[in-house]
Amino acid sequence: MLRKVLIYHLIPFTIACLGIFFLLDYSSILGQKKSVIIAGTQTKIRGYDPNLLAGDSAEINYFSSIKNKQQLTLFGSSEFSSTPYCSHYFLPDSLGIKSYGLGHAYHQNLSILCELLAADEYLENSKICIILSLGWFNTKGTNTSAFIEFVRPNLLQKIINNPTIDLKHKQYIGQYINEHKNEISALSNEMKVLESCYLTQQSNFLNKLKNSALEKIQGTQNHELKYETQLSSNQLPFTTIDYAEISTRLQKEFVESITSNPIYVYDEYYNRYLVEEDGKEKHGNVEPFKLENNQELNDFRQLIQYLKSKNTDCSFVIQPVNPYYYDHVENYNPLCDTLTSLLEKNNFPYLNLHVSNKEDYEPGILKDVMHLGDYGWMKVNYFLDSLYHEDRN
Amino acid sequence: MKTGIKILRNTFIYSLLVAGFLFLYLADIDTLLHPDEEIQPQSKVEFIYQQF
Repeated sequence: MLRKVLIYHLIPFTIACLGIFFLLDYSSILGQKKSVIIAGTQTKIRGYDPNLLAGDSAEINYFSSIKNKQQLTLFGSSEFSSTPYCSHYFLPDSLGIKSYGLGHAYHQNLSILCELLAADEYLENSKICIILSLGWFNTKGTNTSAFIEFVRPNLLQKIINNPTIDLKHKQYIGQYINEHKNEISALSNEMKVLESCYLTQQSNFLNKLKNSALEKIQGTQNHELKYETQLSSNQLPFTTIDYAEISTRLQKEFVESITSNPIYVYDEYYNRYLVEEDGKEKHGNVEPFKLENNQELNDFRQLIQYLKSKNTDCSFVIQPVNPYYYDHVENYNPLCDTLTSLLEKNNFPYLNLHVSNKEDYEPGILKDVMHLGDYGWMKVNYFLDSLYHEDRN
Repeated sequence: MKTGIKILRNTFIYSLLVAGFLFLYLADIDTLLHPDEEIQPQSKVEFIYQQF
């Protein structure tokens, strides 16, 4: 009886399974991917995009910026604005360094990691600066709304279809998708593939088999994206500037422009956000928070690890918060120490603007409670100029 | 000879079953029938931009 089951069922079933998996793995028909080419010319060598929702043109400008070794790509969040002292305007306009910024509020470490992974093939020696906000690390990590907005389907496609990207990065994104899928209306094919990358390493043998098949089947439905970008040949005029003179003037102008408050916040913001109905001034408080199992810190570690492996010419800026508004800013000290020690360990240059008390705070660094002011941007510009000035063209 | 044919037949049947399971159940028949249809994921949680 047992022999019959073995011969007539177990052996045919095993052969069937092996045959199907062989087909999935090696069949040229199943494995064939549609090749989609997105072609265009780089148009942005100054300025920024809040995200890549504009589609092909925004993606071309983003990938071109990473590809262009003479151009600096800035990743930031809500500090980006249209002031001429923002690095993505000031560096090209005043120093002749091509610059492109990407991001707006909630553009955090995981989204930046995904954007960089998508540009993996162009990253070596790319000039990159990531502007960190300490407030990110007080959140539960990237929220799903931001993830969907910043990590566009085409970026996920690029990640999935790049065999040189270490599986652990794909699994890391897959883990995020798996843990947040209840917050997402429907997973796209790309999301499913990345999720199955994560599940494959997590599950028992049978589930591994199932997820591996799922990954292969859904992987076959994806397009292989290629960006054929023509880099801008425009040259920017080079000028020299007097940092001390401009910075002193900007700081003085900022402080003198404030009439409503003693906490170095510009009037419009102060009156709109910091005054309660009864006329009292609001106050913020930095609660102590744990660094163990801090999702944002884990995302940052993953980002650092990846950037290091790609040999990028990357730098970081740590933004402060306004100690005149926030109490207990010193609660950010352990985080700041962790960030700076990680950066030092991996030889990434950084500018740390964090201060934990009013005495060390320079008015004008921030224009409000957390966003860089023109004076603060000049400090960032000086830092970036000192790092990337050799490659001015 | 009979045994060989029976094994072959069963292998064929199991192949169909495994392939059916993988393609129709796991891979979601709808996405296979409409491979170019793009799913637009949306966040079910509305995040409101906060200044602080």
